[in-house]
Amino acid sequence: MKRKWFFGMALVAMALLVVGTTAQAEIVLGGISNRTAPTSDSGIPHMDGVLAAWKWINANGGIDGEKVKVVEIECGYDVPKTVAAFKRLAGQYKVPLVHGFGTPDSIAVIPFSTRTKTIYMPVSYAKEMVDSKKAPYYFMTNADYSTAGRSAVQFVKHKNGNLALIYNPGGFGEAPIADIKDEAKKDGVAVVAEENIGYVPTDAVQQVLKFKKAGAKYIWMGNTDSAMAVLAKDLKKQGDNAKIIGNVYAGTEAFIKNAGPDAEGHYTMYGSVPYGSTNTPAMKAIEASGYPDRANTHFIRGWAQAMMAADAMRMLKKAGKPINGPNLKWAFEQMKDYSPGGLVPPITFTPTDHRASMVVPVYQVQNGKWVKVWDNTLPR
Amino acid sequence: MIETVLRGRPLLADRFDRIGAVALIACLAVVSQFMGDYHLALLTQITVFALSAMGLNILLGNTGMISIAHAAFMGVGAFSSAYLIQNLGLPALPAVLLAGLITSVVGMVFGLPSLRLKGVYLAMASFAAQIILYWAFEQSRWLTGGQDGRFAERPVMLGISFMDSHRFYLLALAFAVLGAVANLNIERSRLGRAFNAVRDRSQAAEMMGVNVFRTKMASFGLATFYAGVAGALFGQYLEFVAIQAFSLSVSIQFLALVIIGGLGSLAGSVLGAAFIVLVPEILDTIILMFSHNTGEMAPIRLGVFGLIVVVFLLFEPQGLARAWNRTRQWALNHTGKGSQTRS
Repeated sequence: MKRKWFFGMALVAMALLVVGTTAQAEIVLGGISNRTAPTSDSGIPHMDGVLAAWKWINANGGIDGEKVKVVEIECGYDVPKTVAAFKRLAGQYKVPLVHGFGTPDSIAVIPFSTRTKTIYMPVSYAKEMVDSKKAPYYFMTNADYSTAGRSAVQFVKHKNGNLALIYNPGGFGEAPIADIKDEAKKDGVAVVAEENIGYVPTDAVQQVLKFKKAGAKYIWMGNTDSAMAVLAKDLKKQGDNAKIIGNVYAGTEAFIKNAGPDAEGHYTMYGSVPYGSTNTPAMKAIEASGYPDRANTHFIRGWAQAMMAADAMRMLKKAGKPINGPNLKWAFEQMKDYSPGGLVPPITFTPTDHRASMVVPVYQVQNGKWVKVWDNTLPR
Repeated sequence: MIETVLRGRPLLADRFDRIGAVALIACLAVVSQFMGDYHLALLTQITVFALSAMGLNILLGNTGMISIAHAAFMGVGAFSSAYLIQNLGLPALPAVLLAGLITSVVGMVFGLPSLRLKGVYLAMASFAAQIILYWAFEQSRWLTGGQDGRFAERPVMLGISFMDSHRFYLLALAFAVLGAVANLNIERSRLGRAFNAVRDRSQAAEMMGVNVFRTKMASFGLATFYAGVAGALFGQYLEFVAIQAFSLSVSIQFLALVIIGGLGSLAGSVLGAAFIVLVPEILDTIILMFSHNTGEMAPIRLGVFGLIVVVFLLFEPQGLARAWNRTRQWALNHTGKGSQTRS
């Protein structure tokens, strides 16, 4: 009896796996999220932003009357699971587009995205994914890490300062270092110190003392918001007035919350417009969404990502083309100085250049809020 | 009939097993060619994990030594193979085997403390190995690409390109079958019996003339050779090697795999791999049937997966291999082939 029960359950489970596909009456897209791994502090609001935006788009007529459904598969920042999930979405669900997540998981999908001609939209801005030859179906909403890093150096030049570097070794933290040093050399900005720091440091005293000794005025940081908060607090404790310029994942709302008053005066290459800073319908919708963490820049960028995909689909409808990967690629490559909902800096793609944006403004914490203090557009 | 290397005893106990094994391999080879990308990806993952688990089973099941660094050893194989092929231009087949050997040497170095340590102390030593190797992966950007990972090409072996996923599955299956035959041979060889003797009572084994140190080193060497080859294939299957795929949690997952499958059992390695890969996917499928969104249910899914593991071990503490043996016995009884059992 026990054996029969066991095998009965196993057979039902296997049958589910084989037949578990969806009936497609609407436009079906994919989502690969991270809601359980350590980087889920950005993964959760990002995918929630994507889903909330599609809900809003559907409530406002969808894609010329057609509703959009996102099949989300949570992969916990796990590379093999992400590859299997992508194959499931592209193979079983036949989605033309997948909203993705981080650096290694998104890079791992590149060969499969190319082979299946499926659009992939990560929220990692690593250089590997803006190469239109190596990753032809990858499109993102923001400047890549290297472009943003160059902008930070130009800001330091504008301020007549010098620069120190601190980053998590490897990954998105280290990704733009070579380009930052190259830009510093070009602009005559001295790089006076270089240090490493982990994703969740308990203190940054050693690094701060070295920066103080080197006389660093600006510190570029490639890390997450919690590390930037630790650095800001230790700068204050050590009486160092140097200012941090955080990358897109360092300077967030969580940084202001965690660093408290010590956040004042520090900078970031903020990835979206701040919550409530514009009057566009998209920002109004975000404000009305009721999402508890709606002021989070990751939520706003997730929203922008969905709007960008929606506008590409509308472009195809207007042109009388079917919605599929190659046509969406064509639609994205028509976008020039386009800002989805006015939520992120203007985006331009060409068939040979998939760097989303060369516009990388600098924001500063003023009275507990991110305020734009410098506009910068880099040449392509 | 497949015979053992040393004693001429049959590798598989009876006709039922022999016909079953051949039928299963033939069935997998044929059915896989008609599968879509997603199901084939799962099947490939199960096959590669099973190969790796066979190694861990030699260490844990046969020799009684625990390792919480099995994923890190797979990582050594994966990165070595990618480096040997892409940077040094070695052909894929020797590169995969050499990656296995490199992993084996690394495994034996980290296995040295096993001479003096056992039980939880050995577990802690292997935990240290996992931490050290993971740290080394992070630092060795020239080899691993650091946190960004590195691409790994699908191989060309003996003039055959395995770029196509269906063809690559056959390659993985061939390695798994070779691994299984070798595993069964080892079990029945002098070395295999030495493994069991060391596991059951190492002092008595030593008194009987078993060189405990060499036996333990051989066990580590073999286990990590399997891990290295499986890691190399895993990287080639993903076409990308990321250090995150070889973390501590993955090593613990492998431990769970061999325990759920059944310690010291070849069938257990295969069934455990299927369990670990398929159960989360089945849970995802069930959620997707109702909500088209596994995201909000993700924490619950993890909890349910844990619960299934606990309930399963409560009802079947000797693992899936035991359930398989009972089924096999039932089939034999119903076909009038006797009541021979296998452990």
